[in-house]
Amino acid sequence: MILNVRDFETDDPSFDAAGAALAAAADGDVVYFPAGQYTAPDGGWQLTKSLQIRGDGPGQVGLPGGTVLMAPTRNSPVFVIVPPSTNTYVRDLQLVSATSGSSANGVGIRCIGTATAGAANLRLGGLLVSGFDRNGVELHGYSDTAGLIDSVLVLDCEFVGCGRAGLSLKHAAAAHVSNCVFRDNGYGGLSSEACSIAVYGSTFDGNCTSVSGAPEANLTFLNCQSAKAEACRFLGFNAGTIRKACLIDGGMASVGSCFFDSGNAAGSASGIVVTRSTPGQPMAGPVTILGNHFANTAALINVDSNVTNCLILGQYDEGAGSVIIPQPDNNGLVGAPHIVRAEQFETRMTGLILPSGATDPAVAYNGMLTYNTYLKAVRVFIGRDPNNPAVNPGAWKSIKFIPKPPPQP
Amino acid sequence: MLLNVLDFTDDSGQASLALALETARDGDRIYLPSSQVYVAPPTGWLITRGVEIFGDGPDFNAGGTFLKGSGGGDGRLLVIRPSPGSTMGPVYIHDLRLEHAQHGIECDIAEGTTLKSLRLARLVVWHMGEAPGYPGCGLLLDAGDGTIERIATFACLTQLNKQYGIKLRNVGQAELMAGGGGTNGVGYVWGGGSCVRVCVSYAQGDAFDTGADGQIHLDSCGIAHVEAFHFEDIRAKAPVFPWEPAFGCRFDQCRGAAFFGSNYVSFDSTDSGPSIIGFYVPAADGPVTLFPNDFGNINGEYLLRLGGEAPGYSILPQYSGTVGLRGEVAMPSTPNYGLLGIPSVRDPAAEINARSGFALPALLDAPMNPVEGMIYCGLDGVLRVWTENGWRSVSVTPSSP
Repeated sequence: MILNVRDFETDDPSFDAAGAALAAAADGDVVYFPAGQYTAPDGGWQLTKSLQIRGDGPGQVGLPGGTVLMAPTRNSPVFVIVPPSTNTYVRDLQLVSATSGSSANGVGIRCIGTATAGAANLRLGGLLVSGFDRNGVELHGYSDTAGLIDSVLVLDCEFVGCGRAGLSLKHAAAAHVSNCVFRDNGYGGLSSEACSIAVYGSTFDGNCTSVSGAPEANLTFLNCQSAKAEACRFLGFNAGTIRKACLIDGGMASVGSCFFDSGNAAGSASGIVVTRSTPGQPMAGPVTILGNHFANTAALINVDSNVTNCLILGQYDEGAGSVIIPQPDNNGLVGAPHIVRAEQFETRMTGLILPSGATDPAVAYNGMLTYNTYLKAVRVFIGRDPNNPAVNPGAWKSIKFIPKPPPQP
Repeated sequence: MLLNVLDFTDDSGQASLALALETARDGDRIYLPSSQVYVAPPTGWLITRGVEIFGDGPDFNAGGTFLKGSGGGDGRLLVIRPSPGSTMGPVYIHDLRLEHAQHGIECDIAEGTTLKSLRLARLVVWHMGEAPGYPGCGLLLDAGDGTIERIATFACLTQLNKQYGIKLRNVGQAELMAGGGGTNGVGYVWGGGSCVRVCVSYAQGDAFDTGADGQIHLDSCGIAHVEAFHFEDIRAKAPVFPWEPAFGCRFDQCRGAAFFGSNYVSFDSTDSGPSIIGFYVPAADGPVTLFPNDFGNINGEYLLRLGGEAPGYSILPQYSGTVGLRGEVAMPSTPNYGLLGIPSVRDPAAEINARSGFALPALLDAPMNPVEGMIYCGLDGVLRVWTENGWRSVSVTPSSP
């Protein structure tokens, strides 16, 4: 059933008609906000049922048209999804912060899991979320095993000018973000921690603008079980002090087919940063960095020594950016970054970087190659008889180099 | 606000989408019930605000909503034209069938004007551009001198259009998903100067007419990503262009963020031979990443043809599903300009030994940024390793007599 919020209005202009519609709705109903502006009650509208909340489109910030839902104060959310929650769908709305109030804890949509309850099958579509002091949308599960935010779909949404992240996800499983825009948010565009998440075809533009210093990047994967960014654009990431487009801090991730342009050829911006910033957190890796296109980026890829098993394949750079990888022990990194510079194709190409370490790998198969930093030798494993490995187990052998010519007398 | 187009009638008493569009404000939804065929005025219906336009689905025989161009197919249909100098959107068009005009949906965006977001879903767009002298596309999404920030299409079928099913130019970000093309004359998708991701879609028998291009052709795209796509019936070029190869997918000047993988490429059973290519990159492009793809109905075609001087291919094994009828893989020879990977083709019957070893980068010059353990092959055929701050040549065992 469709419940039109206008049908619940009374002669009292202060009456919360939307609250009455939400109270009257049953699981599966649609609560419809016709075009116009609505202000949430203090503490936000509480979503305690499986509902679809829809408007007449988000319109544009500061312009008439569409459905605009406003927080009552800078400290309040617009919507609170109350766990346990399933099948909530919020679509075709503009969510905007209030300008009054001194505190700064406001969000557009908040769902916080508890030790006993989370949320599942949450969809957001066609939203414009702007100007909240905290995060635009904040979906935080309780832990990896309890109170999860399970199965999140975010499509065609725009997150603009929020104080922290446009979209903040924590302990969210199976999160899918597609065709979204994250612009001018203070801490970062999308922040995800301990999630399994895929981000497709989205634009990150000029985030991390917090004057006190943004702790995150335009896109942050922190200790994610699995994370993927594909066919995304990162623009204007030389803003503020953080100057990072994509940060992978612990966990496993893949970044590929992305376009990076910091917007400042003389800046110090980083494209993809792979690290483990906190001792004790999960190691970063494996991390896969497939082909990406860079412009105006000083450090295209920066992998620190706490990262294991990183694969880097061909990249393209319009400028003269660098790739920084651990040396000499690269913790299993392999690849050929092929940093190709426009108009000078072959001069900046690389060879194949072999996985290196001070000892030979513990697991070996015939034909496996490694670089032993202690022996300063390329090592190949050969000689294992697959039919009789006990007799002929094989061994690591050094590939011979042509002797250097003797020094001139 | 929801506007039912039947509530807007013109002087002749016909339901008028033009009047509904004039009345609508940003955010309004315009509903076209399936009770009649809607015929556009010769200049088309102008969309000048961020509205949603929708019908009862694209299937006319099952109660769908049907929009048609005027006259003999030389008129216009849906024209997105923001006010000059404005920022407009989002526009959402869905659940319609569009037919017999020059283009199904086109953009007319002036300099300094922005279309923020265009979403298209569950459309059937066919028989566009058939009128003599008015060739057209199913969806002509060209930013012109203005800006289109993003486009998403979902479950849109473009078929039997004279030129391309979908033509994109200078679109900030385009995602084409779960759609299909069929027998579009010039090709299914052409993308130029855009960031494009095409996935989980199919094309069949496109690019057969005069001026035929290919099923997907991405040119000078910041992002060119084709994944989980089904190419069917890649046809030979029309006789007027016999010197040009036919192809399923082609990348030109798409560098770095260029990916082709997890696709199924089925060649046509009648058109065959080396002038037909599954995936084609001309010379002087790259880097391009190729993940495994599955090729079927092969009869002497090129599965992959990679330009000889294109730097930095990364390639993983491919699969051939046709027993005994081998397709070719054209790879750069030495120097391979940084190619890396395993360019093998797995033949299920193992009749042909198309396995390969692991290809190392073979370069004209030594890499400029060596690190410990880096290995490459020089133009002189010598394998070199960077160790102890220098390149060392690898010694090989002499050949047996």
